[in-house]
Amino acid sequence: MPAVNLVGQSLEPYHVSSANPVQKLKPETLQRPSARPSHPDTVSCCQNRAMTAPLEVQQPKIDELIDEDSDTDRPWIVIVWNDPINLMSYVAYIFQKVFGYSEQKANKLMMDVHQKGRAVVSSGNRTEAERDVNRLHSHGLWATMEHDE
Amino acid sequence: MFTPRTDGNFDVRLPSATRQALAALGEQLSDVITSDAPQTRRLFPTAYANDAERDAGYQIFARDQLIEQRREAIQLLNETAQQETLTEQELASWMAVVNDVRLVLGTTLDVSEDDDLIDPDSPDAELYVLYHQLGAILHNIVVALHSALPEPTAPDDPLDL
Repeated sequence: MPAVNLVGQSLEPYHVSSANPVQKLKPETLQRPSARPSHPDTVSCCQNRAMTAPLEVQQPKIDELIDEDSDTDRPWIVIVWNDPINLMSYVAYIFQKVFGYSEQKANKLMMDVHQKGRAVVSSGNRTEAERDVNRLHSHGLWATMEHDE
Repeated sequence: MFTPRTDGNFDVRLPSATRQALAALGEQLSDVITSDAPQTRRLFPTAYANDAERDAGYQIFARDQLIEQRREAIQLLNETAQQETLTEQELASWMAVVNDVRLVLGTTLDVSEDDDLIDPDSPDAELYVLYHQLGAILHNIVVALHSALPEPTAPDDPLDL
């Protein structure tokens, strides 16, 4: 009986093809770490910001004070990043389901993600953006949030 | 595979063995989501791209929440795997589990956009076939659920389109 294995247990039956017998996978197949970097954590804008900030220590700008105290007033943007796993039809469907976007707008955003590598899919205060990011994470999409520059 | 009915539910036409396989994959997913295995990283993405401190705060609540949501979907798939008819919520659970399994498999296989060609001699060939089969099932679920979407609630911005 054909079997596949996701986490080291045998899984059967799974018919791939009756003409193509399938052998059980080795448990370590799914334990192999991937070489692909996963997150855009290395975006360099923060390094630049950190290096210029000390010059203004004595007279902080108003908007920096606002940022410290109530950055919910500053807009955040929610970004969905391209990944090679999620299906295009799935991504567009999730945009419609989560945001109530039209099919046309959802497809436009999905194609932006696919072709440009990322798309801004929503914006709002921090609470709203975090809620949107969380809903996208619930559907397995690769979403992050950052201040709108 | 999945056909919308006039009563809002969905007919499912899949072989029993495929249904068993989906349920079994769900159970394996249930085991892997609580591990720290590197192939689960796409299931728990970073939220704050430029702020590790805030992201740590987000992960504290999000990780448990995402695990719980996935457990509920896995359980619903498990309970309904052999049903001929599914509610929209049940089919959405199938979709969630299939997508999550693809995320784990795709991370494990380190797939790229152009991985349609399968090397039959690769030790990963069998997983690639499974990965693409799950993609076909997922696409069919999406098409079915798409037909049941309500009217858009967010207006189009003419400047965006």
